[in-house]
Amino acid sequence: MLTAEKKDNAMWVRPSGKITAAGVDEFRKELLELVEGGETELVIDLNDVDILDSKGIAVFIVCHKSLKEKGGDLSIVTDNEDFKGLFRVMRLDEHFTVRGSNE
Amino acid sequence: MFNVESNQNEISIEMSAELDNLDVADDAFTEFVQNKKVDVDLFSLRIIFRESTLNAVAHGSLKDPTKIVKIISQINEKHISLEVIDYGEGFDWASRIDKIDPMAESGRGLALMKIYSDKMSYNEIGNHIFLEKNFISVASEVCK
Repeated sequence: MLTAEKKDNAMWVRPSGKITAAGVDEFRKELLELVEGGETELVIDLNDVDILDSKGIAVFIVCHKSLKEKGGDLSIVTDNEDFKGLFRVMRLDEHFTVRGSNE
Repeated sequence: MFNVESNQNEISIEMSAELDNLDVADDAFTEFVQNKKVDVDLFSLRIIFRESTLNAVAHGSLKDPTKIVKIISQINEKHISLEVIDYGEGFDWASRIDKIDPMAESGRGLALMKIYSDKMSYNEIGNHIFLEKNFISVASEVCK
């Protein structure tokens, strides 16, 4: 479901398609494996993602909490203004970084 | 089980309460709306569709594949309506709708539906939700 690549000391993860209830358990498992494997700076690039739901958003929150426990940080990268708005109305951008590709 | 029927201004879906059906239902609903060429915020509409159907499958029906979830959406001159019905016991939606912890790992669906819809209500026991999303402008091709 996702590709992962190390860039500038951060692990970049690029899921594609849907991050929704039906497939979210596998996505959560893959992300938490990266955190448990020692990654502390995680960037999730959503530019290949079509749709998110509340179960998908919950994965980012779980991931953020796990990273915080290890002194790490989560960043979300997206150029999709709808997704940015979604993180904003849920006030999640107050807890982790949400930015565009060129920001 | 997944059955979909549509006509000029209505789509109805009956499906077993399985998570995999949520994506199939969203695809069918999105295609129906796109074909109508109405001026609607499709992202908002898909959010309320996703969250209302997810609640019905995951919470209302406890993902029991022997249970049925019904979805009915109608387009009129001004808005798209969406009704999602499950056959579970319902829930006390009124006491939960304004208690959203942004960092909680669940309970966000109600908040999303409230924010992204223009009208939202439940029946008394909480197993039948009514939602509306207004058009940005009134479409000319609908309801002639």
